[in-house]
Amino acid sequence: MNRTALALSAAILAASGALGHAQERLNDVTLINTLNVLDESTRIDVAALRKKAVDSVAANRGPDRSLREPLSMELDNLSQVTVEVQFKTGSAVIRPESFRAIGVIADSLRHPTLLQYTFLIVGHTDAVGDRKSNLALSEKRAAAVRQALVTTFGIEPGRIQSVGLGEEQLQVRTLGGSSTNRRVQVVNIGRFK
Amino acid sequence: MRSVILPALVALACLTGGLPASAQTISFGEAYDRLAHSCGRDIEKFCGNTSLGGGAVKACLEKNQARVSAGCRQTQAETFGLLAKRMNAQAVAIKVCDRDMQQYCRGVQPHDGYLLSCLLKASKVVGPSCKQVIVDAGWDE
Repeated sequence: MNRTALALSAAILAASGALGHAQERLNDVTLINTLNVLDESTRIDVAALRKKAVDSVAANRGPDRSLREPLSMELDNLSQVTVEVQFKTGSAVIRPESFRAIGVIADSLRHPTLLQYTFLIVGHTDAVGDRKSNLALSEKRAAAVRQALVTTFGIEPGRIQSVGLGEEQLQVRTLGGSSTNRRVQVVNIGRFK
Repeated sequence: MRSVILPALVALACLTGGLPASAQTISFGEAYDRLAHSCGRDIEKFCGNTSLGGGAVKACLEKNQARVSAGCRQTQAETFGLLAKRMNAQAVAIKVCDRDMQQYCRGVQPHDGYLLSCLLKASKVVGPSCKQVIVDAGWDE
């Protein structure tokens, strides 16, 4: 399963050029199939994960980002899709280029096949600028995606949580400024009701 | 004369024969893609700091209706109506398909996800109104 999730992320990320065209590849059938597996052996405690990120920044864990270990290995082992979402610079406002991507996520989460699951939206920034500000920004952006999904796109609020990990879990550690690091994960984390 | 009547009868049979019409609705992905294409510039211009949540982008466009491009106005009129129809179909599907569920989904846990998934599996044999609501909900693919 993990392999499928990673392959999809890779496909989406590989295709992401300067324009938002990569998002055209995102489709609800692939999302539904990828997210339709729950690893019951892994429990994600969102509050604990958030605290871990705050502590990581406070302790300046892995001062050299190219050697910084991921914050949560178990997160990457769960069924998930990685989506590039375009926000206004330094803000949590989602740009029109990414409306479709959020819409496709909504279509997928509203499909009967996925109604039995709960999801975690995880926001990441690149490693440019202040580490603490990046953490705060990713938290706001993940919350903005969740907010859009539960209001404009009508998904049951109890089914989605969000957390920001700033630059504490870089996709490409050697290239801190890489756009590949700026991403949103949608992770299947549990059963609903 | 016969050459006119026969195709007309065939057309009528198709209309009444229980074949669900194609979906006259639209997905969120499609609707917001069209909106971004037709209204992207207007959104950046008039709603630059508006969040996507809370229906705020839609509300902002409506507030600026007189100033947005004609193409954007037309897209809004078309897409939001089709989207509302899809949302409605998704919301009423369990109710519309109640009789079909009693027939084909007995014993399924009373959970929307499991009930609707059962309906989709049985979608070839369910009645015409249930079939139509599944199509309108965008769940027939």
